[in-house]
Amino acid sequence: MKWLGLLLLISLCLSCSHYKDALSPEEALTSFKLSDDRLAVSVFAAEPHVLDPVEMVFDEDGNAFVVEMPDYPSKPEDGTLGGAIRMLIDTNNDGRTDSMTVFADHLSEATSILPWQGGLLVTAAPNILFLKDTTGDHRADVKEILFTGFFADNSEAQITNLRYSIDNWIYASNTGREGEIRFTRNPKAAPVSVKGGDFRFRLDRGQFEVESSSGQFGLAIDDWGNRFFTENSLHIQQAPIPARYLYRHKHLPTVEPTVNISDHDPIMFQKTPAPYWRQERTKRRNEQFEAAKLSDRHEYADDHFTGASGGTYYGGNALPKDYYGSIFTGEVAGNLVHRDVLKRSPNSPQFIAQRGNQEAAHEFLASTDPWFRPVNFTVGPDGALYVIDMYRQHIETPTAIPEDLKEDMDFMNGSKLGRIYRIADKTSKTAIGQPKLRSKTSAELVALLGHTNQWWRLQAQRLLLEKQDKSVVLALKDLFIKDMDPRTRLHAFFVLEGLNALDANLVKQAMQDAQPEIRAYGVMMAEHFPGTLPQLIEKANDPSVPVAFQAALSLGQFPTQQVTTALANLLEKHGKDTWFRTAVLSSELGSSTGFARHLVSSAYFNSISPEKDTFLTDLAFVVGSRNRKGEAVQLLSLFSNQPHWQQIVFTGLTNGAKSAGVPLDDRLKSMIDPQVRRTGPPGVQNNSLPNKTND
Amino acid sequence: MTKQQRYSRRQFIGKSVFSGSTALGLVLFLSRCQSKTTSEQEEKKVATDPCEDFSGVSEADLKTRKKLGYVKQSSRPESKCGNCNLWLPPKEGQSCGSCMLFKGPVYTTGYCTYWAPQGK
Repeated sequence: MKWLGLLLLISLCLSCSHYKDALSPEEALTSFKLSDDRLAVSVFAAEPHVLDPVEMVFDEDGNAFVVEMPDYPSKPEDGTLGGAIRMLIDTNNDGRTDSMTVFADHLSEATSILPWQGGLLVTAAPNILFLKDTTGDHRADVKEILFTGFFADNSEAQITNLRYSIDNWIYASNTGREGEIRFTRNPKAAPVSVKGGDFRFRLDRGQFEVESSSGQFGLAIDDWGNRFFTENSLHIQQAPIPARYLYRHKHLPTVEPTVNISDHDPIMFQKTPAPYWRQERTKRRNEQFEAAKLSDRHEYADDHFTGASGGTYYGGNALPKDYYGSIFTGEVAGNLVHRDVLKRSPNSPQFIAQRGNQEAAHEFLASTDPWFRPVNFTVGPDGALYVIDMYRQHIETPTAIPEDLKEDMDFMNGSKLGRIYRIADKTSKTAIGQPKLRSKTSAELVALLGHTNQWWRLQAQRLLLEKQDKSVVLALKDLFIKDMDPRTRLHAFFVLEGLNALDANLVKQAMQDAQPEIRAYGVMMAEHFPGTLPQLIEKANDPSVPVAFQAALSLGQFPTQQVTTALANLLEKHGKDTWFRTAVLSSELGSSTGFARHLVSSAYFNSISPEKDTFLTDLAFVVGSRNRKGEAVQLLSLFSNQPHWQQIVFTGLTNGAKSAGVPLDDRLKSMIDPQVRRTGPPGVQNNSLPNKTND
Repeated sequence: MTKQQRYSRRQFIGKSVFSGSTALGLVLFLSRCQSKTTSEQEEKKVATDPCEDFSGVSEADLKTRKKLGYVKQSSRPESKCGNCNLWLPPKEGQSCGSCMLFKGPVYTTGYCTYWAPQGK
């Protein structure tokens, strides 16, 4: 009888619980619904071999390294640190991890890794580390702090996402947090402020700088070096203008460098009902909106992106060909994997992220298991897509949940669990043997630049950069000129760049390539070869938008009047697009009174349009902010007897001067048309970018 | 504080309370202190920017604010507290708003890592 009572009590407790229990890895597999019957999911690794994984990479020899973050969401009060990097081992080559070694442990909030010179680069705020095993025991015995100074007070928004890109730079996301970054290998180098941006660096050249974008967890880089980043409710964004152009002078009106490129935000299709705490919290928040009479505000408990994480470019060869080029993003709150298909905008450097044809009303993968937390992905040497599942009962930061709703929540429940799944075509092999690229000759690595899987191409490029073996220069030039695959040609181009073997002829060749992205890189590299300026000027008329856009950016690096007409033509042809206008204005020449004079003489201002209003307002803003002697008067004098343009100029000058805290030239008021003087400066109208930042 | 110190203090207060003149002196002393403190607080309140006034905010809430990465000036102009879904605008007569995630005044221009676009 006592047993019956106890059983009843347990049953009642269970039925009262708001939350489901964990599933075994095999049970979890059955909770997955894939949108494509051609694909299969299998377990690559699970506890106890991996716990709380947040990123995995395969090094050049095919070893899988995983970053674990068991301290999430808060570090233990006793000061111990659980962060670790493990090497996963498949001893019987059956495609599933059956052993592991701890490469590094006691790490503070390490979140991402990147193979480099036989070791691993590691983001562990406030640092970027270099860890390496030199004794062969698979345990790091070298620990070097390379960069330091990053924000370190929020484990969800710290330096992360180390990615090696086609241009030989290593990129990392910084969520726009403030930081003065120092490079320990060059203590004399001035610290770099990363406020409002991300970060990029080259260890082969000792360079480091802020990058325009402010990604959180997830950074996808395509075959051509375009970056797409993830940030909670905004699952895919882009930053079309690199920071080195955007901030080359300090007087632009405020520019938001990032743009949400999804055409289907904010909807997602989950198979798990929102957990109790979220439903209740959402109800309360909506009540607060109503009480505050905020009729246009509403929060959704589910089916809306809120925990997008780990956006990753798929350039592999183990999924059907139609998946190549997709971006896969996890939604940790919705327990699903979302896929975006990228399309270029016809008149802008912006991309458009769309749902796949088969995914109009459901996701690439959705689970019925609320513990499924797909925080990240990687693509392996086998071409498969690997899903990194942190596997936690709760993944929300506790501080965001009201105290009473947290009473029956254990935020560490699942901290001894973790899964990594492999998704591939049903017909693909689960194991391909070890690539062992480090033992390959330079010539063999050059040949791998033509591999169908981006992983092999990038590893080969990186190893060639590390080796600095110039004996392959001729072979690389041959590959760049003759190979039929444009991706291979671009890899060859940048290996040559990394070996300091680019010359003006190769750059000119690149500017004539059949592939627009290669022409664009040719334009970019022409900045370093002034003799190629005539060809660069020609590229302003390139029919491809990305090429013309790069020309708009690169021409501004040349402070010569030769480029004025080309910039003016770009503005005439592409000026409706805000990125083109900003590209022109970001340069000294493109924001000068001389350029405005050229536009006046070329009849640009003979007609009125909203984009011309905006451009002139912003140009005048720059002039007003820059406050050079006589420049404001020069600018206004270009528009005698033209009240419309006078008003535009006066507005921009006024706002620019106000923003910089400098006085406006007194002569201006006497110069402007009486009609404009009567109405006065019209505030910030016409100015889409009213405030100045990044000073 | 040691046990001996606590005992001595209790003895002192006990003796003082039972002494009428001392008790009166203590009350006067306390009232003067109270008056001075209130006056200082008022002066401070007038001088303090209401958006910087954390006098009613607990240490725990200040810690939460820091943990979520709150800064009073967003470095991203299109993402700021004023257009965040967790933002509540200033009530009538107040100059700064508040956030659903932590207590205390919040600048419209602020930002934290929990920024989310306003759901319509």
